[in-house]
Amino acid sequence: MNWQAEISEKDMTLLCEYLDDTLSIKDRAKFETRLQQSPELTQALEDMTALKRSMRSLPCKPVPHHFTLTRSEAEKARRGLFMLPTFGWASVVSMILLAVIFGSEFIFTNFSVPQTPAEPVAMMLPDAAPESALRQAEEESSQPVYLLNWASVGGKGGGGAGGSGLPVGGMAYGMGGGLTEIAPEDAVVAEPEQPAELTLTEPMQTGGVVEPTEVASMLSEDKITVEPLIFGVREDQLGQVITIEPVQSEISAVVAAQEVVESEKEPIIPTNVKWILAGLAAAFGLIWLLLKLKR
Amino acid sequence: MEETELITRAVDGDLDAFNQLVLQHQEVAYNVAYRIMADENAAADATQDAVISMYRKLDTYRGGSFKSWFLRIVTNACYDELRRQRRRPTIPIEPETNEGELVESPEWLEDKSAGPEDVLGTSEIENAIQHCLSGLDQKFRIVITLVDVSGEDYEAVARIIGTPIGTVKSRLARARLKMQQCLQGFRELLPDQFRHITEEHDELAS
Repeated sequence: MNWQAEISEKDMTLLCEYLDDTLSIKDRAKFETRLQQSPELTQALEDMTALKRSMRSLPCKPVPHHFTLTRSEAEKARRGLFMLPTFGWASVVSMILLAVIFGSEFIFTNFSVPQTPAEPVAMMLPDAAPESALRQAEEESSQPVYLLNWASVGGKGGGGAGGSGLPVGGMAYGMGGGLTEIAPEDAVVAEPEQPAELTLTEPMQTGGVVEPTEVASMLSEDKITVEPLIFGVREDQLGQVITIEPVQSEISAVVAAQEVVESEKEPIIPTNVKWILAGLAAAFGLIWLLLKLKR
Repeated sequence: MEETELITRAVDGDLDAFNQLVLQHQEVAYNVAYRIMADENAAADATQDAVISMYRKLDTYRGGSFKSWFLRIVTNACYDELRRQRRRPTIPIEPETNEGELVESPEWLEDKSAGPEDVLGTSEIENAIQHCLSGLDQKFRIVITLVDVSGEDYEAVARIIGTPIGTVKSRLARARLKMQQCLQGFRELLPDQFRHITEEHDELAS
């Protein structure tokens, strides 16, 4: 009888368990009931019993020799005891370190968010992104801006234009924005002008408007001495460099920023270390493999 | 001396105690290896490797059946040996005559292993079983060998091969089914003798 096609895998497992007497009493009774009802199962049980008996009856092969160890064999076995796992673990550790290094560098390079403006580098530079700021700063530093002697008071401020038809008025309006860029030693403005500038700046800062009459009254009181200028140009100092932009402090800031960005560009772990690790991993792995194959 | 005491002494480095343990279990180990490997020399190599491996791993023995622990090492050694055999397969050599013609079946190329006719001609049932056993997949072969040849119970087999007991049951069921199908061919050639021989073997064994 061909019962193989009739019996499911589950029934076959149950049959084996029944045969090996590993079923519980309840399951055994249930299976015996099914056995009585199914001729396929009964036939399968007979065949399996015959197979098991024949397998059990296989003669026991005598050992060709004793497998005991001699002293020298035991010593040899002990000697190789530490080598294989040591090199195996060393190789694994090196590989993990290498993977961590490459993985972290890959993540930092590809998935790192841009630095926020709150960070020190960003604060030193006008733009938030250090790269673009550096580029801009480099361009600026490579092309120095020469500030020529262009009037002490009226020249630099936009206020000069405001004083339509009144040179004094132009001077007054221009002073607020003009004086900060001029270094004291390079300033062409005469010494007595300083208090006048201060006096005049204050109303501008507070939002007040200095009336031309007020300026005229101040001039009349000799608070400041202003040489007559043609559109704010001092003839005796024409062409003289007053200041160069960016100033030294800005250059140093740019250099500092450049150093920071360059340090960011540098890999966290030097390439030499990576090569050494890769070499060690390969060497340990090879030794481990050789030992394993030798065994 | 009791096995527990022998194990304790062996773990402490007593080589004589270790060798006593080996002598106690070497026959079972060798027979399991032989049924898995289907080759006496390979079985001897696997058993020797297992003994050396056991000596190295003695300190990892955590109690329980020492025989099961040893058989686990033996089956692992058999796996390793089979893997090694797969890595170094025999290269077919086709010899040529002086004229450059292929020699179809030289004497030294003949397959000395038993064919179905030879199997039935020698120690019939044993060779038939070994023939079918060798045709099984490794995982089925090991389970059926441990349960039906070595007489281990399901739990012990699960410990030896490191799988859940359910896996052992299903593998055993499939292995027996495959064995039965394979032996069917031999049974057709010897319809009445098959069970008769097994009964004789039973009587001899008892």
